[in-house]
Amino acid sequence: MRVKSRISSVNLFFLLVQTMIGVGLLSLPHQTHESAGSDGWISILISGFFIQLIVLLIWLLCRNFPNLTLFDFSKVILGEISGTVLNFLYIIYLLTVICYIFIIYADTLKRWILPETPAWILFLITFVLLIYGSICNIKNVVSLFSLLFILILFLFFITFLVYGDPYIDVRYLFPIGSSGGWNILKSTSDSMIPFIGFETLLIYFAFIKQSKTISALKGVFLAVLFVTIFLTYIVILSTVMLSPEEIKITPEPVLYILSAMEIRILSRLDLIFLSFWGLIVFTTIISYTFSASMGISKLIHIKHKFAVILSGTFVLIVSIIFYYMEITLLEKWLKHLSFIFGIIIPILLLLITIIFKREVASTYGKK
Amino acid sequence: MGKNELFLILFILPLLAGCWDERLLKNSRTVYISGFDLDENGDYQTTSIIRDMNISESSRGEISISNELVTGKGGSIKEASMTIDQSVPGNYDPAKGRTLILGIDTAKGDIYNVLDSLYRDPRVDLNAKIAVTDDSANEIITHLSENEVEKGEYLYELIYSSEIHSEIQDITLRSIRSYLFDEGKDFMLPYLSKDEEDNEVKINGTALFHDHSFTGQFLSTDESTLLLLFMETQSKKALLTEQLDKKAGGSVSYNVKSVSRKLKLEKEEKVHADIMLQLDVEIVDYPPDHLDKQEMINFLENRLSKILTEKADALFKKLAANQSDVLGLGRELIAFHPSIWKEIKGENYYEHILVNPKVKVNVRSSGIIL
Repeated sequence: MRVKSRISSVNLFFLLVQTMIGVGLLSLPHQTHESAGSDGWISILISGFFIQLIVLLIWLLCRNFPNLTLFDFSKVILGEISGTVLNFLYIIYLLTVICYIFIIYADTLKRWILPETPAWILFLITFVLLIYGSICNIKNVVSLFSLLFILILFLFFITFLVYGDPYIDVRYLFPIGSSGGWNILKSTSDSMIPFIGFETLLIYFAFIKQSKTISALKGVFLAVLFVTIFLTYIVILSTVMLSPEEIKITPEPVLYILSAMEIRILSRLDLIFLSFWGLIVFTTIISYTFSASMGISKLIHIKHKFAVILSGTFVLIVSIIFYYMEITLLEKWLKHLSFIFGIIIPILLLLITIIFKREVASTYGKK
Repeated sequence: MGKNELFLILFILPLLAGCWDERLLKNSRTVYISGFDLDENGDYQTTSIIRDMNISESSRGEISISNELVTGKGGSIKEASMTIDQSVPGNYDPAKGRTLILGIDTAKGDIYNVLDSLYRDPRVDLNAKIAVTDDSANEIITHLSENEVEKGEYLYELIYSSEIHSEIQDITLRSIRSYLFDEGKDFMLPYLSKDEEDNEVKINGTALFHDHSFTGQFLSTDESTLLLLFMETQSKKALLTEQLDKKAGGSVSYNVKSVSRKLKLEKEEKVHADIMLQLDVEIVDYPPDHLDKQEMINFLENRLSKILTEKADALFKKLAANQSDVLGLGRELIAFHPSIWKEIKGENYYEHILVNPKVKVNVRSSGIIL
């Protein structure tokens, strides 16, 4: 089934940036520091470069199947049965990511600003907004995302205020490369996680106007570049503000730094940051739910609306169970899952397409 | 508005998070200043001034403010504040404390033990100032609550104005944590004492820290100003006065406008740190005048450079004796000379560093007269 709506390359930029910047932002400096020490920013840059390559591969894959989403062309490539299985797995993966975001979101809010609020209330709020935000078509999603892009710029702006702080010590960045080249390279596999979101391209490329031309790729490249720069900036900022041993015991360095900031009448900037960040996380959730629901509606032939409600309910139940049982498996899984579903499977699909010369005409052309 | 939206709004209303997390001002007992002491048994004693707001219903909602001094003991800081909580009506809320005072016994131990519980609470004001006293913190706070009108604010303002004049290092609850967790940097805190004659609390200088604890040695405000200049972290004002000999006209006061530092680290038998400090100063008080003559300026520059170099020498000897690396030379070594650092690293790395300071003063201006 070909998708009907069309979006431009610029729209794709907003879609992708909003999907990629999300829940990982707060703890990113802490995580890169664990694996790469003060060279975390280098490993983010390297990962950013890798992601560009992978995005290119996904484009090469998708351009063979104009206006078809992953859930359609997987059947073309792999055949009816294994294609359906793959679609099912992808749906499960996308839902897992949403669960993970739900849990981290509720946990962060509970620890930082809402200690008295029961967690299930937070889950319920997210659930309602998820449904409200995802029952719509791609055009609505795009316009919402491009509007909320202002908030990302605002996050940038808030962090600029930190430079008034006299305790910035650039020496924390030196000596550059102290953790050794190999360690930095190894840590790039960890720093892939904040970039997840690019795999939704497998679906979004279907909506682009002229997916064969290179201009379709432009928005995507810029989006990945933007995200890379943003994340690198956040990591560098936290590294110069906090001493190395300190970051290791601070799970959310960015919030911690901002909570100490004071500008005349305003203090506790972390609260402002968190409220903007909350909306940005929502865009990620909406984007994933939208993709997952498309898959569900194609898998069991129901309307998009019901697919959204179905996936929302699933996510709500699973994340509440995981949260209250204090299961922390998700994070470990996610590292491997995103590696498999974001990188390995698209590459395999691309290889099969090239070797066996799969073309969209073979199934859809006849009709 | 459609029915669905209305329904949705009604559904969301009870979920609004603010309703669950409200914290009413009338119920909480806000702390303005806290002090921490350590007694012989290893128990902590917390002393706080609590500000109470009474809204009287009889006289048209007039607000009267009263202060209350409370103390509590416990095996940890948190336990001590729980003890206080039991003795006051309402919630004892230490989050808003603007100033923290460490008694001398607490400061000589590991001060992170005191601070840890504060960092775990997201509502604590991380901009709070920290000071060390030469006595128990209890003493100082009791004095403040009896004699000063503003109490908690008084001490905050006192510390703040000293920071503005570059007399003490600008340190808050947030920045002190960076220093505590940094192997290559130490810090100094304002050193308070009660002046018996004037019956006032004063800042007597800065307490030198090594690692996590107070060394027992403190710098005078002049010395710490000079040290701040060496760190290039002075505030807008850094006023110093030097005694010249009689012939040259008594004394001269000057304000340091800008600083440029050149630091050279070299490994010989020990690690030699040659620091060349260039000060651009403005003369603010020099009765003999005649600063229009070049030889006069040269003379002043030479004298001041010599005096300051001597003072700096004494200062760094004092730092070396206490192994207090306030200048952050360890961090410098880690960042730019990792190979040297590898040889000397350890808790007492400062033993291996020999500082050789040199100060050069340039008179740049003299106010509106010459």
